[in-house]
Amino acid sequence: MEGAEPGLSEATLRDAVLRGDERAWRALYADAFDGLFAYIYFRTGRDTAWTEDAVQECWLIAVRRIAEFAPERGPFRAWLRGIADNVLRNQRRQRARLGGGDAALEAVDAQPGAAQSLETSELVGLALSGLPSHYRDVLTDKYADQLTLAQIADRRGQTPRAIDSLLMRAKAAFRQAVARLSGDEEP
Amino acid sequence: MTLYDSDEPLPPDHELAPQDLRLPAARPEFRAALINETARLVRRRGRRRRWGRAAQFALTYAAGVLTVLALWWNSTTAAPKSSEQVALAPHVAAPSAPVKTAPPAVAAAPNKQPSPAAVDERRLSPEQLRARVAGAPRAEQIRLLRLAGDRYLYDYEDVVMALHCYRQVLELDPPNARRPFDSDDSWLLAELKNARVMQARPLAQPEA
Repeated sequence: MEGAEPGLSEATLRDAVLRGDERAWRALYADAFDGLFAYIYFRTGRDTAWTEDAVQECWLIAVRRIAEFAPERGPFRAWLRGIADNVLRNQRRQRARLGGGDAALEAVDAQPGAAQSLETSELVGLALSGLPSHYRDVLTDKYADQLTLAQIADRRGQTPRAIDSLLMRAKAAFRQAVARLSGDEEP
Repeated sequence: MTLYDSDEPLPPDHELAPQDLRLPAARPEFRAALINETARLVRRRGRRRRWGRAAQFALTYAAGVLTVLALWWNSTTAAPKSSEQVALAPHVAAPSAPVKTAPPAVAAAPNKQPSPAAVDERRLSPEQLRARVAGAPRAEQIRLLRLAGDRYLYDYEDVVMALHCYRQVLELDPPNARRPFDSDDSWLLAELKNARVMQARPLAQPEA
């Protein structure tokens, strides 16, 4: 999908993790951690404690079931989101049994296509969290840090032309993600 | 403040604050603790995999060694078994009977072994050595029985069978050509020879 041959790279990393290569696992973790954390953060209604609990459970499940990750069916971050959805669903049930009624629980139930009630910041956050990390980073550099193309290129050691191209693709992916979350487009 | 590029605005179609595009960050200690915990599981998986392979290799190696040993054992014991049993039968029934009293078994034994001379005697069991006695020339019978006796005594610690073989050695040894003590004699054979000398002495002394 996005990025340079992410499937091949993630397949290689997965195989290395299955062989017990810790560095490969750290590479997968570093690339996907922020996105997963943000995704869960918004899905839990910005509950930091709950987010940490769910994130921890997600990664522990991921490391145990890494053999089930099939790169040809989708990127690693998407697989993690699937785990996160299940974890959040289970935790929501547990919390409800323990006398929930928590307003934040509603955020957990918000699925793509039913996110109209989300605030703009949540919508943007969820959309960003689902992007590949290099897309997310360039969008943050451009729109959050408000750097120029030249500054971003300098920071990343690339040409402004390459950054411009990357930014174009990142914006397209972001628009697509927002549309999916808003229910304007089929996933 | 707008975040939109002049030519390519970001959705949704209204202004975004910069913080909207800044994702929440996890606490560094939480992030570090989680990677350490999960990396530990990955390392453990690697160790399990390595140990599994080592165990697999060891099992394969052991199976190979056992197979070779089994083949070797079969090659040294299975072939001469029938002749050996036939040759041993008279000794078991009558231990004191001389070997030359069992000629029928003797004739078959050498024929069943493909090339007795080619087989290394060091690999033969005492029973196999004794199976070769029948039909052999007297000197060879003595040598084989002595060898079998040594093997019983030292390798199997079977003094009774060693004694049986040594007695046959002494019986086969003609009185007029009785061999003197040999430095290669086992302690048991040396004792038997000594006893025979002591038995002969009282008869000679009165004459002297």
